[in-house]
Amino acid sequence: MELRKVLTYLGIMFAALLLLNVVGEKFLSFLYLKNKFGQSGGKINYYMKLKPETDLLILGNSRALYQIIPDSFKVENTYNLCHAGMDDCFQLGLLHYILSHDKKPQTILLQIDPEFYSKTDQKTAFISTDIQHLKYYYDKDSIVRYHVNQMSAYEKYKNLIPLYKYNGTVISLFKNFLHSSKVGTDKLKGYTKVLPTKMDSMNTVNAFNVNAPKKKYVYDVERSKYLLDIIAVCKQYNVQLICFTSPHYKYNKTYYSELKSNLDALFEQHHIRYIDFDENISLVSQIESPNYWKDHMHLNLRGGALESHYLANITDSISVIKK
Amino acid sequence: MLFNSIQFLVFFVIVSILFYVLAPKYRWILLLIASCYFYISFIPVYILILFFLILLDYFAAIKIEDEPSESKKRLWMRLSLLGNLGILAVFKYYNFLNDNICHLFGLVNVSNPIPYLHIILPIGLSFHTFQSMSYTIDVYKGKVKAERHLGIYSLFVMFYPQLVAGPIERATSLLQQLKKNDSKLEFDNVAIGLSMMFWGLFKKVVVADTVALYVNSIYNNAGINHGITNIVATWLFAIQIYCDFSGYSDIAIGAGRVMGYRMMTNFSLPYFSKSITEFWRRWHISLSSWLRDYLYISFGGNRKGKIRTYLNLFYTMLLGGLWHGASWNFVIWGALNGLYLSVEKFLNLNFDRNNKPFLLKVLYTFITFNLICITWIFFRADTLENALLFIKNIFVIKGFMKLRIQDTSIMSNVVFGVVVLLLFEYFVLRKRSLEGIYRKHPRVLMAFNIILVLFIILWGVSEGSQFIYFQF
Repeated sequence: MELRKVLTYLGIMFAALLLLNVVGEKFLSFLYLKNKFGQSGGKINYYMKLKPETDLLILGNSRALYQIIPDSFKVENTYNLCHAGMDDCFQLGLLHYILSHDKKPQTILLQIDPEFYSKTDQKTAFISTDIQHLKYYYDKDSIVRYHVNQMSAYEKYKNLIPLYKYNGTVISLFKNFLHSSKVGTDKLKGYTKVLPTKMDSMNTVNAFNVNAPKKKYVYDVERSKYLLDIIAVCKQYNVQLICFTSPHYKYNKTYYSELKSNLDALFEQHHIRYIDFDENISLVSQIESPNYWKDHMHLNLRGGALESHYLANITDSISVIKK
Repeated sequence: MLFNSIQFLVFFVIVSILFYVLAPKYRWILLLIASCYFYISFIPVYILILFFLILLDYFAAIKIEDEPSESKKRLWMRLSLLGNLGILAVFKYYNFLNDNICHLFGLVNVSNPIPYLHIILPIGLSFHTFQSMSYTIDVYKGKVKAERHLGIYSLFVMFYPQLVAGPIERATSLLQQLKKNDSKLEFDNVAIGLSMMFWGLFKKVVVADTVALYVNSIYNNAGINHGITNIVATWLFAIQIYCDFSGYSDIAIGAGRVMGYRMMTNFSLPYFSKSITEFWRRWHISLSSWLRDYLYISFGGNRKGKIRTYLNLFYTMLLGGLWHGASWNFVIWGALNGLYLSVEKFLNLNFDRNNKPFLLKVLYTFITFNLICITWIFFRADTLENALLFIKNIFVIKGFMKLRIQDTSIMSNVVFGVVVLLLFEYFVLRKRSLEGIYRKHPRVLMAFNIILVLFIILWGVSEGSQFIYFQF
């Protein structure tokens, strides 16, 4: 009798959850596809529906999202598809999804953080977890699926639950759905404007004092695996790849020398153009003042405009973008 | 094996089914094997320490009971305490002590000859040593009989739901239930146990782990944040640690309940307390009652005059702080709590505040919460320097009211989780426990479970982060 009651109870719960999963998935999928803004898929949706095709696509994290202004480039069809806080593995998954769905830009400008390739205290092999933010595409892209499954042995089971692909993004989906309904087009072409504030200088100096590197970064070849895959995917789809590093406040070459020499060698070996703004004396001299920074890692609009200008000049001068 | 992992879900289902399939007389074997497996899934070799302590306390308790002479009883009790505290001292406090000696030697330019031990703290060591010690002390005091069945006694120490982070059970309760071991499958136990587990899981993965994303980003940059940002981060850390730890306790109590075992309540809505004294009656009850019964009362409690009472309170909380961890941050955390309790007693402020007007009760609750939050700064900060810097930066006037949000998506999830938690605790749990809801409205509880599972799927941080109290 008790066993029957327990089984009935569990059965009803299971059936209700199954039903709510199916209904909920349909509803959230509807919201998702209507999203045009934000990091919970909106920007990717917008880009995938963008016409005409993009000539120049910018990928990277917040150090490109807040700093590289698409309108600075002479090329008309430029889009900033950067996502704050996301590492190379996320960029790899996103890139593969885009290219394998026939949204092929002529050139990709990929922003990379040299610190990402440094050794950490972690004893086990490095596995990125940022790819989980692309779990909506788990069933839609083989590279995304592969790297999500690398995170743990249980990922494939979690992804059997239909609603799980919206994990952590429900409120953003609603918010961006409402925003997308009000605002039709993204006039900033994916870029997020960071207006200068009175606090910028103080925050930058404080952040630098606390977070400035204290010892030399040591290169970890293992952590370049995603970058190598990005290079391979670009070659496979015949897309030109240019990589760049955004400047650091009060950059000190001593700490980065090993990282940068290894990255230089890697890019040279694969014939990839690499623009290192830490080494661009003209830009560095212009952004010396903390007024150009939001914190020690991010330029504000004032500094971002300068970086974008230099980046646009370089890409134009090397005629990478074919008209 | 973390409670918030799929591995545990599979483990729990298998163990619970086998538990009811097996004849009652063999269940202890199943639970002991399951508990060993559960423990070795963290760091296998440390189970040897657990075995050593089990054997020591098992034989010591029998000797205490069998020895006719009082002095020999006391000797065996002391031996047991020495063994437990010795293990704690080596694994938990040796390096802390050594660091401080090193620092003192450094002041006179002498190098410290004592080597540093490269060891990891065995998981849950503080919990099971306290549980074991209370057993031998209770046997010595004649409150409980020595357990002669080594398997049952081992299970009492190793019972997997509460092995690594409590509740710190007493032999008078859990050991007797394990000995009795006649529980039949009861629908009520399963329904209530599962509800507690879902609620605990919600608190851990939806609230604590989401809040942690924000709190870590602020506390890990102690030097660059200030004003209201630091205050909000500390309030949120208070919520995080509560949900993390009480979430663990709820899952543990629920997992035990599914098998018919009843463990003690460990948290009783502590942030609704209107005084520090009340807070400590509601927060980590199994530890605070342990400290009261085995330390405070042993020090003399309130039987030796007012001054000694205040000092006893202070010393007890100071040791309670050290129990949490070997660092000056925890010492200060304990000292502050001791100071609060002593001052409250001295000023006679620990009166019943429940009969006051509503607004006054809100004010008392707010003051108590913020006093506790001051102690949490020391608990959360990595170092004493960071804690002091963090407090100093709260008083930076320029841009005081500018709250650093970091990520609006994370912040909206934080607000969602905290609001659901507070509304449910204030309007429902304050009046009736989950068991009470079940007794009155079983269908409502089922709907509640379904909603919780949906919330866990949609809002739960799924990386399976460790519980904060595992480090103790």
